Amino acid sequence: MKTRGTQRAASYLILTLGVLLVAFPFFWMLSTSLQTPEETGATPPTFLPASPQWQNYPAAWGSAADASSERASFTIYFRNSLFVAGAVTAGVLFTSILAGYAFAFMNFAGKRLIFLLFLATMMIPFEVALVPNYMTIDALGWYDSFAALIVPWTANVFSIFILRQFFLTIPRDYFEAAQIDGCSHWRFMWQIATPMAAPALAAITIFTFLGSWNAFLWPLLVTSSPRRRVVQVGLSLLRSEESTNLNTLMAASAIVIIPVVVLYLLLQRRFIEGVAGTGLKG
Amino acid sequence: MRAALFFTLSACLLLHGCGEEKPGPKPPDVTSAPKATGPESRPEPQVAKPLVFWHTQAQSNLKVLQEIVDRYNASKPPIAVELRYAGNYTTLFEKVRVTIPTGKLPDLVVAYESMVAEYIELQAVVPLDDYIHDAKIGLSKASLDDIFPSILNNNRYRAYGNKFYTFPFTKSVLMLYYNPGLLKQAGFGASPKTWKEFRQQCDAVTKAGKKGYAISIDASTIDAMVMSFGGKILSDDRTQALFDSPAGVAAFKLLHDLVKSGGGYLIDRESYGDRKDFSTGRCAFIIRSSTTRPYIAKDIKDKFNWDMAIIPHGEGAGPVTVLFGANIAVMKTTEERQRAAWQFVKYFCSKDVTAKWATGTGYLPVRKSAAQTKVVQSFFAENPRNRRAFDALPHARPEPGVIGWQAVRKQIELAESRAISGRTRPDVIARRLANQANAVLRKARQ
Repeated sequence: MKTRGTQRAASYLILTLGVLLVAFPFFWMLSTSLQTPEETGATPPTFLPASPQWQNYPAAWGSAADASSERASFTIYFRNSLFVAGAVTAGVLFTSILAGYAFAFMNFAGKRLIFLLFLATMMIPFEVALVPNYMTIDALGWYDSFAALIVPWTANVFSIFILRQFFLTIPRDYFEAAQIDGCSHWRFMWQIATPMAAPALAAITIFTFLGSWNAFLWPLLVTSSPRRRVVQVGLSLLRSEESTNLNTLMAASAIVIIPVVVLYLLLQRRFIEGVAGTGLKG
Repeated sequence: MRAALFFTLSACLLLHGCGEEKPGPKPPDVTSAPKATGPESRPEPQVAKPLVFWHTQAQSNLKVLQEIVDRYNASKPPIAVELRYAGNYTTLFEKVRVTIPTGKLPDLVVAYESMVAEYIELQAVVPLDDYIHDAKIGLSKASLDDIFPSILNNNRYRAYGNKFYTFPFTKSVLMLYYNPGLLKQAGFGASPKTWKEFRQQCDAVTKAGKKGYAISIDASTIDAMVMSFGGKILSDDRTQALFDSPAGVAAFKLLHDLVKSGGGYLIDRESYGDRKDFSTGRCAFIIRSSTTRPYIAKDIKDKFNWDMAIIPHGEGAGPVTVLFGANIAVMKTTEERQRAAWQFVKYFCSKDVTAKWATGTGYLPVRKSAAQTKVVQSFFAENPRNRRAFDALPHARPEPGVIGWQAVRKQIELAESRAISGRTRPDVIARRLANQANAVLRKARQ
């Protein structure tokens, strides 16, 4: 009994430490976002502001807009990012379901080879494909358009892989039973397999949304006008070579992470099942 | 689950659909042009799409730049200019590099020498000599002579026919920032003129209970030290790095000795720790670009007196410092657009504009005559330290701009870290750095 109690205490201690470790950067961001410039630069560092500077939030929103004297507002960047990340996520879910299903449930010539080729593309670094991708976008006349921000990212091998693995765990009996009742592949995929893969879909949704939301270099390369600017590029305008107002930068960062946090909270339970179920650990 | 997913995605799409984008105000002389498919804007009959200028300025500097561009556009130029933020120098360089194969280049870009060298190799940038000497839109000899020679010559590319491929944009010099109060407490009435005095003062300030020199790892500071010890960074034919010269060894020895005696200390990498320590009166010296001046002024306000001076020099060598800053390049588009782009560059470097740019941002005016403008006069009158960097300009020399230098800078910074750690002898560090740098340069030339 005593040992069980000690074990429990030890595990709580370790978990608490883990929570503190993960939560600390968030706490630091929020705390800094409410500090005065003097407090952010103080030594020893300020943990809690003497009086919270709530005005840093509207200031951050305004200054990001203001700083880009190209007269676009942060509201536009935010909306662009939501649209792009939403569309990319929808696209990835759609293509991954189709491809993942085909690789798991259908038989066709060269299936293994094609799957291996798909996986091999994961080995190609983003930087290598940068110039050819850019040239393709340019040849299509998509420079400075939403299509350039969205279309190249709507298929993702990693997501296809996750879904294929998940679909493989669904017993084939389901498919055979459905087939006997006259169910086609199409219907089985959408009405039976996809709902069963909800945890994997949740994981893909979060990974993809986060990846797209945090993208910086690609949007910077393929867009030019402030009307197509995304939040990460907007955030970079808050920094300069010589000086960064940490409090406003942190306030802006706190605003920027909201959509991702909301999405995670919405999908949290499924997400954890999905990550645990595919054998992939963060 | 599906509901949540549906909700999130449709919210994203809806949110976007609801808001119509408001087109930004257009420059005055621009009629509505068809949608661009590339950063370059090919002129169409009677319709000139604005010149696109890729830059890296943010915050208050960007405001000043925008004001200058607005004023230019209002002056009915041949083609108006439109600013486009392209991230920092690294991302801007990347952006230009991916654009080059498509041939659809922006009209103007901000660039460092090593970037321009690459653009020249790829035939993406045009020499400015014909425009500079053009009877109609060029610059007179007097006007060219008015530009500080160190700044002007920095835009000539010796490896490419000594032609002008750029014109000055953001210019600054490396300066010594010092706290006269701390020096006085340590028994010194003036800032150090030589590195020997600098060492003595650092050690004395440390003995008096404060700190001497807050070291931020920076390749340019090493370059400046080598030059100010009377050395050269590259051989005259620009193929050999000369860090293993006596001046190079002296630079690393200075840092090595300073840290060993406690007169110098290292700040966190890529932080503003030195600025913070200086602004709170904790250290007597920092070495930074003159562009740091407005930020330190803002940090210190009236808390204590501080000043700037050109960096110290070696015994028997004269004062010298590093000239920093990027330039503007005119990219290869059409003859008409290139001419128009040059006209903006010329406007930007004109007396009043360079004065406005300098006083508004902390960069330096590129013309000697700018010192006579009212705006610069009153700026100098505000505080004597406002003119220190300007006075240092005649002694400023640029760092090498050869291909591969960006990689060499990383090696220099590693060598500096080694000197500070004190585990390797300065002469060994200097020799090793020279070998590494030469290997990098050799590879880059191939």
